[in-house]
Amino acid sequence: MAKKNARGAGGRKAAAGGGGGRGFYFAIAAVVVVGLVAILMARDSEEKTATSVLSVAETTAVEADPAAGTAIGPMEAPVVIMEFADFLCPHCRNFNAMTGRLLRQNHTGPGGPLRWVSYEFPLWPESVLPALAVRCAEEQGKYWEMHDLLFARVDSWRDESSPARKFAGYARDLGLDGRSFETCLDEQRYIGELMASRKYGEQLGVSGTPTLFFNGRRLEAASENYSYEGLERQILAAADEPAEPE
Amino acid sequence: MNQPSLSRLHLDRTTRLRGVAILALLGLFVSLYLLLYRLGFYGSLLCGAGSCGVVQASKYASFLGFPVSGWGVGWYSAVFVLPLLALHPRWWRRSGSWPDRLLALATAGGLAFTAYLTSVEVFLLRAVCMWCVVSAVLTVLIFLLAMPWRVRHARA
Repeated sequence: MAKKNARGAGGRKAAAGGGGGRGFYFAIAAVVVVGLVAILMARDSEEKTATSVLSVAETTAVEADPAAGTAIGPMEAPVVIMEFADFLCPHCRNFNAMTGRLLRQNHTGPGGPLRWVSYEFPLWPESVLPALAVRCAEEQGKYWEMHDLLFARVDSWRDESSPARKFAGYARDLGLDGRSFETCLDEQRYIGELMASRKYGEQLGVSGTPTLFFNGRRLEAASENYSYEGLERQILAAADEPAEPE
Repeated sequence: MNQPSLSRLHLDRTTRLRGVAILALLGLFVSLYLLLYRLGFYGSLLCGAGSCGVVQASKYASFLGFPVSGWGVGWYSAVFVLPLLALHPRWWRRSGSWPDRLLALATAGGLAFTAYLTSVEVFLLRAVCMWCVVSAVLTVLIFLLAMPWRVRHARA
């Protein structure tokens, strides 16, 4: 009985109030308060600073790499357009359909005035997979074909919970080795290059898509700057300018 | 007799279990932060030094159809509650009680899963997320404090 009493009283004291119990509950309360405040403050600072999913801060270990883009057109072309785009961004799809694809088609051939460099700029976690898909297609020499196909068919894969199978089907449609493509996609072979591309955009101040740089100069998002006619006029004007003496 | 160096700390069972609860609560907030990001509550992660974007965007950020951070919230919640149960007057001195045993099992499982995630980051993704490192350190500390061999030494 005495043993039982001693155990009962001591136990309650040790487990509940005594022996640093108050300090323990204070520590628990402090962690809860600090944790909740930190979570709310993180949300607050998020609203103030960025709307992007993958900010500069979180990709600091990845080097921004201008070479992470994929280019088409002559090396010596007088005009270089850099495009930062996201496959889930509706404006990017429209821009590609109405402007980008046609400019590449008409002005990046041999001796053409335009070199076009495409940089993936995933804004959401769901944008990563299509961006990886074009990289995997690039491995087999069909970057631009996959690029245009993903934009054209975005309505059919956007709501898929796992669009990888659809992408593999597109790869086969394009004549790629489907198994090799799937392996590439599955192991996320080009995630580093993708993040380097995104980081390069962040370094240049890109925060939304599509964003274009015309010979290194950022084009403001006015409709004229992003229309086929407006851009073609600028390209042809730049191509007609005499080269500056060295 | 050579004893593991940690046993020289002479932490009694109550102190160790309280330590586990506090560390688990810290881990719970880390996991909650990552889960909220995953659910779209945040547009970006505060990552300092590290590649959280690479890790969180990878396929390894999900496990059995659920976000890893969601599993983390569940695991840390359990590891927070179990020591409180073990400290309940009903079990406070019984180191072999079911909350103790369940805690030991949970922390061993958590350590194994953390080892898997860390190896994925280092060897497959070649990218390390700062929050994952924080969680891994917490998991190791929780494991060291919660393992039954520590209980036996404390009682010896």
